[in-house]
Amino acid sequence: MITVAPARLEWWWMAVALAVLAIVATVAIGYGVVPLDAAGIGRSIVDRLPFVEVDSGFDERQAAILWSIRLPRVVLGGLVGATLALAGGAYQGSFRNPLADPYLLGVAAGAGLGATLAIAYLPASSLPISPLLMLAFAGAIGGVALTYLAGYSVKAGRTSVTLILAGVAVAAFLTAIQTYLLQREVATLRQVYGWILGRLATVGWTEVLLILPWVILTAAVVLAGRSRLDVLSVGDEEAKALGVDPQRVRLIVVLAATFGTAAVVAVSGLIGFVGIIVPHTIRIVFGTSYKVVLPLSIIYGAAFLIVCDLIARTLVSPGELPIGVVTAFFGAPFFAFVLRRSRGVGT
Amino acid sequence: MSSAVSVADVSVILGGSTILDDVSLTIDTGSWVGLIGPNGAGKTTILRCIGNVVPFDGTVTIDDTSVADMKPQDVAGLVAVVPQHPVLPEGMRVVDYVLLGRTPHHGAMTSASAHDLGVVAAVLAALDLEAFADREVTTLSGGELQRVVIARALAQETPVLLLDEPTTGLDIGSQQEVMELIDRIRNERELTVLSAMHDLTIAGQFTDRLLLLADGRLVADGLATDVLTPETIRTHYGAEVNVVEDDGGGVVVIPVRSSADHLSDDRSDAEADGAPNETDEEILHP
Repeated sequence: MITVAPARLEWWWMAVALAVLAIVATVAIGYGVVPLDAAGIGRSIVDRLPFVEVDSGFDERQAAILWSIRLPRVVLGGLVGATLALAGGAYQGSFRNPLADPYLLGVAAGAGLGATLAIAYLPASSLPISPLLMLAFAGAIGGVALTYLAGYSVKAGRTSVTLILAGVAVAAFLTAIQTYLLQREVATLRQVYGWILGRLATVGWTEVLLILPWVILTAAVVLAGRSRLDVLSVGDEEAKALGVDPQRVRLIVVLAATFGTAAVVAVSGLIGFVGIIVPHTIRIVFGTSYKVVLPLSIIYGAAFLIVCDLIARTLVSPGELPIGVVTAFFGAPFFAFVLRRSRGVGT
Repeated sequence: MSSAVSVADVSVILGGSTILDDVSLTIDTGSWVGLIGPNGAGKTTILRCIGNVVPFDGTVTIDDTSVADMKPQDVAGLVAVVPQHPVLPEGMRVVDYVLLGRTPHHGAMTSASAHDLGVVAAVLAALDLEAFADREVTTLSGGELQRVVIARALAQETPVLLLDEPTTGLDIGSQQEVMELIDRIRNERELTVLSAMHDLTIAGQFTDRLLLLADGRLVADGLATDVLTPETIRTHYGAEVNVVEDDGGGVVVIPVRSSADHLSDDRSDAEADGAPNETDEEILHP
């Protein structure tokens, strides 16, 4: 009898991925008008650990750049990239659609409408959390809630396709409202589009701390469902015959992925293609099992967005490209490649 | 003999159409029952009811427990299904596909145990699939794929096996191979088997008993020699056939062209040339 070797996450794949992330993060933190050397960065981080005291060698200005500007930005980029890539993989598994992305069910349109409302009618206030963040998050959740309401109002023939079509309808509806508002408030156009194209500009740790609980929750729930997503790959009826309730799995995984996406979109704007590029690259290199795709998507998604952000802030320095432009520059050709490679789109 | 599966007064209405109309049947433990009937008779729907993957009125029990009262995981622990058109995940290897059969035996959070891997290895060996373990399921031929799908069902280690048209699309050699395989493993594992089948000869050759469905109703139930008569087949399939019993107690169903003028002409010509007139018996047993 043969020894059965099923698909699984090899420890050294994770080790390599973490090493890549560490290198990318170190380069991104160190590169800028004021360079910071890797050893100093390492010493400075170790110095912040409890019961440890190490001289980083950085002066006050360098330390401020590290802890208030570069590190929060890189950590934020990592969290946003990890969440978008994980959510993309989760959506693709839930809907058996290789081209599904985290914005499939109205997250982007809802967040866009929320952000437009905030920019047009609720300028920065003295609230501890900016209205833009709150409304973008609420809009994203509201968009998905509307999609589920519309999708599940179908009594007969309720399938994942119904839900996707409901998402298309809701996105079109919310985008129409957003466009109407932009026509009325032309002065906000530049600011709204700036948000839509995505940015990771941040000072301090507010955004990181805001999204961290959502990111952790999303990762925990989606990773817990990874082996069930493998079962869903044989279709709803066969999955049910194998003892899995596909609608229940889909609901839990998609909701978790959606909350994570809504949280990161609220702080970063609409950064496209990460949710498609990263999981697909991992599928091609490491295999199609979600037991492998999802954990590696977290690590490589973080690394990918950190690299894109580095490019965005250095390519036209001292100016800055919207990060969504950089991800789309890599993403659009890759999207076409995935289309060519996909023999069919599952339902 | 006790009943492994019991279907009582089951009706299914989908999209306003009655697919099954008050169907009742029982399947004895350890028997192989063939489900026959013309297209749209409701064969697949019966299987879907027993697997509890389609809503129905009535009662389906497995080992005296109603499937409606069971969780999907519990039903999957009792009934394994070999679908007619299995969905093949792109990039999935045979070993991972067969391992899906162990899903009912472990929780959502736990991965496959050493026991699960042992069961999969044993099933691959039993079905002579070891050489295919690392092949992607989308690259297999029809016969190979059918064995792999059966392997997944066997990995579920259920007492009841449901097969939906297990020989569809296979050449005659592969058809025989698959049916002999099912017969062997059901005897080895004392399985109760219900298979929907289109090929009446194969159904008559391999099963212990036949159920004939037509227009969503059960219209005949019995041994192949009782169910597969020219009259019954003409009534429910609209087909003209000859039915011949073979030496092994099975039956052979031979389609006959209803317009046989061309045969008459050919025979007349042959008789005129002095050629012997072969009987049907001689054609079957030359």
